[in-house]
Amino acid sequence: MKKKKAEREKRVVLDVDRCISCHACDVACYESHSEKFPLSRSNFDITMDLPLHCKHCTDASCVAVCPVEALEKREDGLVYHNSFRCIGCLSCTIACPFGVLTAKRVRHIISKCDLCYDMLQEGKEPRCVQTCTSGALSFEEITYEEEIERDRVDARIKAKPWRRL
Amino acid sequence: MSLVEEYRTKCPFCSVQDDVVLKRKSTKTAFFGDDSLFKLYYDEKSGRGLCPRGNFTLELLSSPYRLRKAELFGEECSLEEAIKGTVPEIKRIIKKKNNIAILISGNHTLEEAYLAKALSGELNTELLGLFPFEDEALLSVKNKFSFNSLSESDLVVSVGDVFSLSPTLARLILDARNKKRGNRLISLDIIKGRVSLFAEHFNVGPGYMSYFLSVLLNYLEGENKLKSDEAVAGVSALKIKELAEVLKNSENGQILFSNIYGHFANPYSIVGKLSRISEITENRFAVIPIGQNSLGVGRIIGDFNNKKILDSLKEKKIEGLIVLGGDPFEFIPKFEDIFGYLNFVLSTVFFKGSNSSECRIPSAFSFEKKGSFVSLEENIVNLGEPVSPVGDAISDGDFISDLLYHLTGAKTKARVSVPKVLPFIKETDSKKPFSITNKKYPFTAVGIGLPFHHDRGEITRRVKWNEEKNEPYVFINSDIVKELSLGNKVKIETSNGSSFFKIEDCSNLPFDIPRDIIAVPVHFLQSLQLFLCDYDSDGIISPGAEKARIVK
Repeated sequence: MKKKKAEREKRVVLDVDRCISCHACDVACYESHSEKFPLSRSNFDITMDLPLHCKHCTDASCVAVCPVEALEKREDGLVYHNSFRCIGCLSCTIACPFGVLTAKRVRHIISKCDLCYDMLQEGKEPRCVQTCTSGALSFEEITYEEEIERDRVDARIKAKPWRRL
Repeated sequence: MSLVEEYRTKCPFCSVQDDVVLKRKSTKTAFFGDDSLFKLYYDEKSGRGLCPRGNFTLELLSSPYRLRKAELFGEECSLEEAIKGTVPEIKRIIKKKNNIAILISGNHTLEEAYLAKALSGELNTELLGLFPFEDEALLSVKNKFSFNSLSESDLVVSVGDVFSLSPTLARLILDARNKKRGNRLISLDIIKGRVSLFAEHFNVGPGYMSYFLSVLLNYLEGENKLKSDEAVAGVSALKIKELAEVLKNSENGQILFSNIYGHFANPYSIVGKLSRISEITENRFAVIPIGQNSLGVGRIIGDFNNKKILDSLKEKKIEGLIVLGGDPFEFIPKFEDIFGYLNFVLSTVFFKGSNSSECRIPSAFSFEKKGSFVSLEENIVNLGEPVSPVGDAISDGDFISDLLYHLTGAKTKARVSVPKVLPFIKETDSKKPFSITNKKYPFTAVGIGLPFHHDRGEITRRVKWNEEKNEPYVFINSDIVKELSLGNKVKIETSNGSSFFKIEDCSNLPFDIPRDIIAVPVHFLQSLQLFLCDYDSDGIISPGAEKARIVK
């Protein structure tokens, strides 16, 4: 069952009409996560020169398919990846409907966005959002209807032809 | 006692000088590796975030180059020994006037620039110059700019690709465009760039920007009535008239100019014309330099000396060169040919190219020193609390003070006053240029900037994130790649030189590359070889777009 308005979760939302493809979000994720605490890998995928990262889905397919329960949907909305449980079977990468969980394994296991949990604990936004130079990324509460709309936007990222013409 | 040290400083990478907060846990153990002791925070007050280059500040803090020691004639030594050891050689050279040149980067503080000026006096030389060379063309402008008014502008005209060079201005510019129906964002450039994706783009042919602006200026001054079927540099008269109307009718417009190596020819003329256009149309005008404090450093130097310096180097008229904050191999094309004739080269850089200098002094980064800058808003701003340098690194200001002390026996203190803008020298270029391309050279090589490289890329291109891009690359229209059956690598030749490049996938750029253009990211040494580092008709060093051909 979908969450009601009172239980809305915060998500990283991309406004494709503001993204200048500067890669600041990508580098911020790399600088804070690659081989560093608290996430041992960064998980940032640039598709069509636009950032595409974990949506922390309400009904997350990656969680459903994980054979060892290394992925769990937490109450605060975060789809959490437990690196100690992960066996690197890549089932989640096949299940992910957005293709943001990639098959690039580091030390035999997958890497996944943790919404910069350390920053959230300090009452701040994820680093990719904070560093965004054009205001294209925001960390917002979204409703179910907005989530549907957001999925359409993601589809648009994949299909937007003017960026290549 | 707090266990966390906090440093509020400025991002060391560009003239926007965004605020950065660095925090580190107090510890006596210093280690370098993948884990940084520091954590970077984005200043919420500015609300502009940080660009990819700015995010690499953390990597600078853990750079092993910070532990480097001074070197004299290839041997490691203490700072004191290095400075003392250079004095006899310098004293010998300066017996002859203008026998040594000093090049100082735009990333220095005002205090350091004043000390460099004092040093040039002591070294009996007028050859004190600013680099990056393309910033010299901007010294005659006093910016009319504020971050607040930019986001309120009803018109923003970007000449050059502002989004690539200073991405943190993007938020304000897009805010301005989206604020009200009718607000406009116009991009004027020789090829499309990151701004063009969001703007009404006016594509002016490579080499023609100065001429195009002179036509626009004449039209605005009522001296030229354009015929409706006329086209200037690829832009129709109708479009030019529309642009003139937009400029005249805006209430709160902002014109921004940014240049990069190998892009605009005659940048000084372009700046002069834009300055005049902004006066006539009552819009604000600002130049965005590449160096953090190029406006301040250049104004303290007080003259356009780069032409004299490069001429002296090429003609082998000088014996010594002091380079503050850069590697001459990285920014002076064909320096290998010049280097052999110089008896004495002193550099204060962190990177590899200067290994063969007679003396190398480990230099501190901007967040490791105290001092002040001229901001884009024309205020004198303080750099903030410095992070303690590690190893032997010292600021270039301290190094110059020490050198002056050993040369004169007296201590020199930097005085700081507001540096004056250089007066405009007479512009000469407004003639219609010849087409760059010809049968032998059917392409135009255009220098472009990428937001994820610093300067020539000597920092960010060496980090792991960018390792795969370490090989020099160019962007060529994908149809041309197919038609000419080009492989992965090509040799690009201009009348100035040639280099081998990997052909990069154009889908890695958010804009298209025209068929006759070879877009060359200019953060590679090999890229610089393609562009003529010479002065234009205004007497300013201005490596612009060059005719080119592909050698299979």
